[in-house]
Amino acid sequence: MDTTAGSGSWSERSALRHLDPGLLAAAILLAVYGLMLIYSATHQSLRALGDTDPGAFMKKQFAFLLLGLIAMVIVATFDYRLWKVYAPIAYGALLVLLLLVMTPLGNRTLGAQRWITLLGFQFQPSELAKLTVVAMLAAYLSEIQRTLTLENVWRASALAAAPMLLVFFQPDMGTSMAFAAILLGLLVVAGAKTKHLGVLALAALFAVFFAFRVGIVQDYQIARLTAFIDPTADPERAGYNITQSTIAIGSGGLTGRGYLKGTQTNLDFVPQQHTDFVFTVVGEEFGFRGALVLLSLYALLLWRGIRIAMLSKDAFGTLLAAGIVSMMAFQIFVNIGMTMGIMPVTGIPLPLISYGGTALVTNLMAIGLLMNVHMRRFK
Amino acid sequence: MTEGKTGGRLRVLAGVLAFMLAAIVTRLWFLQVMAVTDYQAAAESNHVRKVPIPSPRGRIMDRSGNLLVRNRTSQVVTVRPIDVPNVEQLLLDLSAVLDVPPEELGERLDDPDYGSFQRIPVAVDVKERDILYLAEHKDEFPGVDYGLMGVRDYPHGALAAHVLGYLGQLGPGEPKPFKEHQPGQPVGRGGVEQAYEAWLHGRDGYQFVEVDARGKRIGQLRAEQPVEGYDLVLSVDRRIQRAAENALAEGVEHAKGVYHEDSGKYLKAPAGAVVAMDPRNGEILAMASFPTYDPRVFLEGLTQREWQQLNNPKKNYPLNNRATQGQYPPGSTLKPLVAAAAVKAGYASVNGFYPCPPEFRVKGDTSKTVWRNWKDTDSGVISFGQALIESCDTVFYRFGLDFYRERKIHGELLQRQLRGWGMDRDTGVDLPGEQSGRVPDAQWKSAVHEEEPELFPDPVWYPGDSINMSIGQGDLLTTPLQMARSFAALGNGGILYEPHVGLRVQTADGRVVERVFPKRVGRLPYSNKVLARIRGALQGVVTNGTGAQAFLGFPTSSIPVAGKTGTSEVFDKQPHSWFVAMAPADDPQIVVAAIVEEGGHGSEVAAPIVRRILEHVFDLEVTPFRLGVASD
Repeated sequence: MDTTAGSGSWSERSALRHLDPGLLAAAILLAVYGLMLIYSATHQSLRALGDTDPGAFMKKQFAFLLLGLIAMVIVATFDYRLWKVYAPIAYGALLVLLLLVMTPLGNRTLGAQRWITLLGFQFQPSELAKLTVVAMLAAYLSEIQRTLTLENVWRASALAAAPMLLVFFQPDMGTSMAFAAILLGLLVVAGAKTKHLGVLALAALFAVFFAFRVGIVQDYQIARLTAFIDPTADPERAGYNITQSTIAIGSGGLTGRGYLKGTQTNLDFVPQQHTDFVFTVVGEEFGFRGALVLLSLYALLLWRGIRIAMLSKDAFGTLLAAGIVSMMAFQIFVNIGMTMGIMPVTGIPLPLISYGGTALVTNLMAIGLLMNVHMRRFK
Repeated sequence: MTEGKTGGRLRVLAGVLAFMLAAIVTRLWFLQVMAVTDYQAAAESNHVRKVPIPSPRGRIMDRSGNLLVRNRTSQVVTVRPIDVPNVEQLLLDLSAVLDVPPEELGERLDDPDYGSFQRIPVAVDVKERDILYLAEHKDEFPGVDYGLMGVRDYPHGALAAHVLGYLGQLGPGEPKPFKEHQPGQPVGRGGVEQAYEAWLHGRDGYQFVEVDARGKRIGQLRAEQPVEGYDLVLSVDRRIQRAAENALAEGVEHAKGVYHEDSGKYLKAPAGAVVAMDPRNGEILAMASFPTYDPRVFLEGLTQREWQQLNNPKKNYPLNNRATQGQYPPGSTLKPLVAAAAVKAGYASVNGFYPCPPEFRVKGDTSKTVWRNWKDTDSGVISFGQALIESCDTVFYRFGLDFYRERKIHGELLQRQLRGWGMDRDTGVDLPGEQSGRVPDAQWKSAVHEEEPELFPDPVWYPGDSINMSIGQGDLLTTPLQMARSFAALGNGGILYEPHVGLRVQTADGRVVERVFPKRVGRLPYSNKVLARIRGALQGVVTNGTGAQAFLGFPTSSIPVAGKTGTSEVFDKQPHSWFVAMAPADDPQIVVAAIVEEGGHGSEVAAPIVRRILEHVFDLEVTPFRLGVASD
């Protein structure tokens, strides 16, 4: 292929020709599925407010979907290798934003300071931070040509730990855990030695122990983390979400109660249903079959992601794709697991489905990056 | 990094992802396929509330259909103590609204009949204005609820309170009268309210209401209509019941003015009972117990004062139905029964003559006990009938001694025959808490001695025990109802009926669903001739015997009355006043038994009570209450 170097127009055409239709279809179908679920989860409460448009949340999410698709195209257009260059700059900027969130510039919602208003847009830097950390780590690890040393592992961990701690103190424990998942996925794919990973795990354990001893982890966080083991221990508070969401999913049965017909969904029994607990709408209204459709779309998405990582010609592309897959897989598994009572309750949205503009745009940008790597796999 | 190694590591990542997806699908399969029934039930109970619609309880009426108990709706304020964080504050706040002293509200909350998780009614018939205030300030009254409740209404006030009983709430752990009973639902306590619970209590209905997560009512789903309870028609006659209660109260009042020489005090006459019964079928026409109570106090939780009124010994336990629960020695009212037994045993003959000296001694008795007649004069030799008419104790002492002497041959023949008259066992009346009385015998005497040697120092059955029994004294105990029933058998030719107050159960529009038929539970072993002669003698009691004074002016020629007085001695107390009678004596339609505890002589207090009742029953001119003279 190098023989045709210099013919920019060919390469661009070629890139478009090598679009991954499966990946694109999975992403768009998931986002549309999400719009339906958000409508179901919110239309009753919005009606109860009076004159409000019952589709208000859905429409707002639809606007973000369009915005996200544009962002995806932009991200896919410029050669992903540029990201390797700009990754440290983006990383630095993100750390500044995360610090700004903690100042009075940040907005407080539900007891956590996660949002910031920039140019009239309210967004969540921690969502963007995940993608930035993926790029940063991929850039760093792809530079190492030989086998990773323990020092490399420490440096990579430090790169992930900085935003992780800042997000943890927002507090947003779920998202901060996502950084750990990204780090682990990338270290494995980059070829870190098992014993180095073991050392890292020990260090992490020690850090967690220290966090509990010093009392950095709040009681309510512990309650939420452990409530899934026995929701009946505190059914009114920590266990309530789990109990209600499990009931919603379980009562859906094989075929579901029918769209907009779930009583748990329509009568507001599941809190935060359009955001973190959106999977319960699938479970209740579309049942096991509907959930399988959703999971199949995710499986397709993740499979295409791993395939792209394998096909990539350079290490940066491989690591970028693997990092994105790790990030998404972690969120999918923890979010769905939490709604079914097999994972602790942490504020992690379901990628491409949950209501929330920043997360949707960021995830579509991540899909754009995957496409980018795929399109340029022959270069 | 080489292509192959990276590929392998990516496959590891893919494997982990596949494992995660499989775990999710497994969990989904468990929740949505294997456990779906449980979760669907949980979702159902989440959004559907079952609101009970109370069933109207059946009404209670007398034999002619006069309502004695009906229902009305009333605004009732209830408090559920478990929901109240600060009881004292709440009581003050409620007191200000309801205009009831806080202490009274507090005492109603402490009613032991209720548990702290139950809604305790603290005020009934609350004004609409006050209910509105509570509704508007709901947050200030935690644990307080209100609403229209069906409450019992008594058109005749306290009439027949002991027969009717009252309503309480089913307590925690208390056995349910039937399956569907929920804690907090009304349940009959005492009287026919308890005995006929299963008929009177209908089946509650339910309204299924859809609610959202905050408990807000979204809509109605479906309803199961309540089934109202059946009405109960009693054999009680409202008129006779009223007459019995008034006569009893009057008798007690008059007795208190009588000076009792033996004790040197006025008669205490704290209590009494009357039973009126149809001897032809066992239907109870009236049943009164004094002191009585007002069943309306049970509409709310009881205050301390109310509770004490009902349970303080000094108030003589007004809740007790003495007609079925009071146990007394029958005294001379037992003599007609003993006379029949003596004839049957061959110790007496209806044509016989017997000496009636003032004293009686047992030959060879080393203790030299002297058994006295109730009067000191010698009546000479008198007929069998005359012995009953003047209630000659010394004649009956002889019969008692005969029973004692032949006990080796015939066994305890007197006791056996008294049991045949229905003594020493429940009558089977359809009222809760009946007492069975006692007919003592040698075995009983040694058994109680074994148990409590200090209280019963002597294990041996002596001649004196049989002699005492022959005049209805000693350890013998009967209830007024047992006495009425035995006289009913005497009057109807020897049939022992199971007495009953319930006549039939019917729907609100009068369709009969259950009838209480007369039930024969025994037959006396005496010939009609013997029973007729005894009845004849008892007529003499009223015309020229111990009861004559009390019945002076009563038209005994048109309505002959056969009766027997009794003055039963109880250790450490003034004697009880008894009178049992039947009328018309030639074809008895009613038997009336009356007792006034510590009311002195039967002829003096109890007989005038029975006379007043009979005057009402036979539509005679009702004469003012007059005490009789003191005889037996």
